[in-house]
Amino acid sequence: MRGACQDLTVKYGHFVALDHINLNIPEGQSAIVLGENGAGKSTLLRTLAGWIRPTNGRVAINDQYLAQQERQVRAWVKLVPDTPQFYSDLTVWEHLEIVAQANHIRHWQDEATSLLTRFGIHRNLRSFPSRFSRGMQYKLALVMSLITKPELLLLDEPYGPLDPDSQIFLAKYLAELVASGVSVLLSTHVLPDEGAPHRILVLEQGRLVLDSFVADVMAAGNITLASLPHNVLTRVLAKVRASDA
Amino acid sequence: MHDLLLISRIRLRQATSQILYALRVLGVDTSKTDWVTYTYGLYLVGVFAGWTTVSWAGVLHLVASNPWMRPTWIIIIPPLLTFVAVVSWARALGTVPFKLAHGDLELLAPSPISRRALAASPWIVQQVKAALIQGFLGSLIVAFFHGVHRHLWIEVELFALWGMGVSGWGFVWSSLRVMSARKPRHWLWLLPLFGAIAVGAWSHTALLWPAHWVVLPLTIQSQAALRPQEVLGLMVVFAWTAALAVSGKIHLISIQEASALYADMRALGTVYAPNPQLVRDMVQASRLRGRRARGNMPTWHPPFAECGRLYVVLLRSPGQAFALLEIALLIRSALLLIFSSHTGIVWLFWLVACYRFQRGSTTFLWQRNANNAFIRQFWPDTLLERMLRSSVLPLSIVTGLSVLLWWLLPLGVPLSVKPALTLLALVIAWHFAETFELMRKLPNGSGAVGTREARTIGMGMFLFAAIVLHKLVMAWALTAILVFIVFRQGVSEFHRGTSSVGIPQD
Repeated sequence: MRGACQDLTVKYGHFVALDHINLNIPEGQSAIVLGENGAGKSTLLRTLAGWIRPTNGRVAINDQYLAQQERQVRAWVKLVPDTPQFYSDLTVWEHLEIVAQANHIRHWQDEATSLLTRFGIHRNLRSFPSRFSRGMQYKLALVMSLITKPELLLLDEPYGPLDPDSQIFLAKYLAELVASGVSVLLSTHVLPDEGAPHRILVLEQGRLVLDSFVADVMAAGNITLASLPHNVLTRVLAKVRASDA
Repeated sequence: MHDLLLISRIRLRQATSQILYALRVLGVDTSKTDWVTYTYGLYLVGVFAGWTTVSWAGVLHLVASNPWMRPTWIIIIPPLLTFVAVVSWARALGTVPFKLAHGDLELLAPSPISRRALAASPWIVQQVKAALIQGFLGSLIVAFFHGVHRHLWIEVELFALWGMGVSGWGFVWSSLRVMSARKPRHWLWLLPLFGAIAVGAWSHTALLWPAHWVVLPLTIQSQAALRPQEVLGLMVVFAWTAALAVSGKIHLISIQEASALYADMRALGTVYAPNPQLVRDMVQASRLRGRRARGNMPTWHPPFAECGRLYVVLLRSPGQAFALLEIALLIRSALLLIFSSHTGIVWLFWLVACYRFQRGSTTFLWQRNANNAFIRQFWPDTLLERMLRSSVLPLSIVTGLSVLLWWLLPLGVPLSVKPALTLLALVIAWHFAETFELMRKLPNGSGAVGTREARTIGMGMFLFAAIVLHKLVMAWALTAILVFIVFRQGVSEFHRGTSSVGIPQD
């Protein structure tokens, strides 16, 4: 088991954002979460990362429960939210320094430089992130997360803010990470051809209505990868709503 | 004229919705249109008008009854008014004549709408504000020097005209600054200062001549060839004419650049007023965005990493360093109250100062860590550990500055062990009162607000105990209780299994 949750429920007042979710993302597996706006995708990722306290249920990473081994679990999981926030008075490089210092990471500079170069933000090391566009901010947040070498990487809408080249690079890079044993869970409405995940999850009003392997879904439905998010979402939700009705 | 009508309609709609909002806050059901609602609305307006008039009259008589009244001191008013005018114009030449909110920025600014029409409503608001504020201040100044003088109303009128003239010419200078697409020169704000120095060096009478008309009725009004209202009225008319001429040529690029932050703050709506911290953060971020990064962060490793960060933060945001100095001043004044006061009640005034104190926070680094869920996940330690690590340096700075101020200005409190221990207890009480409030609020996701209240409550308890009971023992006892509560809170957070405090943004 790498990342899992059991009977996970999150409520905001009376509003049920996540409704009894059971999930398991094994080591070296990637999954995408689909769902309409407000379906609970971000809440799921935030709860798995320990940013939101679940109303019910448990989150576990590597067989350690977040509730009991918070510090250890946090070291393994990193979440990049859709709009990451930064320190207003630290530069790009200083953010990376702070992260490396806090996590006792040594010899991180070469890897960070390489990642920054590959993401195309290496010319802005002395800039304040607040000056960046949303896409550049997302890239910096990714680099900050990646230098900590997380075992479970959670990405909220990673492809949305990125330009097409960066989308392809990120998809390939995530594939490399997954091959090296990292588990990746991302929510998205866009999927580049290079970004084939292993599994697909669909959320509808906080309920997990589909948890299946992408290969099975594509084979059964004659779906291409690029059209996967829209196609699957439309079909699954139509089916769910028909059965509900 | 079409543009002016369009803008007037929009401004009228905005003003109406603001008034309706205010009425709703005051309990008026604005969805109803019956006579009870109208009567209640009129009643509120009447109460407000009565309250304003009575308050103003009360303040006026309070000022007029001062025992140091010296009518001859009226001669300081023209230099004072001149100084205020010069500063006001220097400020005008450092900014834009008006700013636009969201909506205006996205819809009106890119359109070919008349710039003059766009500038009209801010111009009117500025003029009315200047007239009201200056008229009010003028009445108080005249009452202070002359009592309730028979020329009081004329003076109110003259001060109001002066205010409108100064504000109007400020608008003109500011508009001239942004008439070209080129980036406005940063040094322009120096022009009024150097201009005033040059004119003053040539003839200080010439420099003070315009402001001299404001107080003329109190001095030699019968000998003047022109009535002062006519002279100052002409100044206002010229300002209006000039503003009308230049406002049509304003280039909107500078207005748009300068309006970004203002528009964001306006978009906060009602949050804007009660959350000065948020506004300060936005202003700070906006200021830094436009600058090159100053200095480098020293690469110190934990547990000193936070010290390196504080160093670079203070270097880039000197306002934060000034805030620490302000806390030191407050702590110093509290020490003075505890050890010099015999009445035991004067510390209440200090508490008011403490509550009104907006900026200072010894926990600001920790707040930034704790409030940002994305950043927080990179810290492997708990919130409590982070608090302790990030507090060492701010606390040391405040303590050091307080002792330095004490040493420089003993003011009857000798440098000895007992007051020194009390001072230390004050600093720690301040810090833990803030921390306690932050920890109390963080788990439910409401964010780090309310530090003022926490400080005031904490310091109030501390000072009360320190003054009423034996100062030193109780001071430390109370500090120890605060520390204990904070640690207990931190430990219980830890045992609950998470220190997560993310604000849901799904």
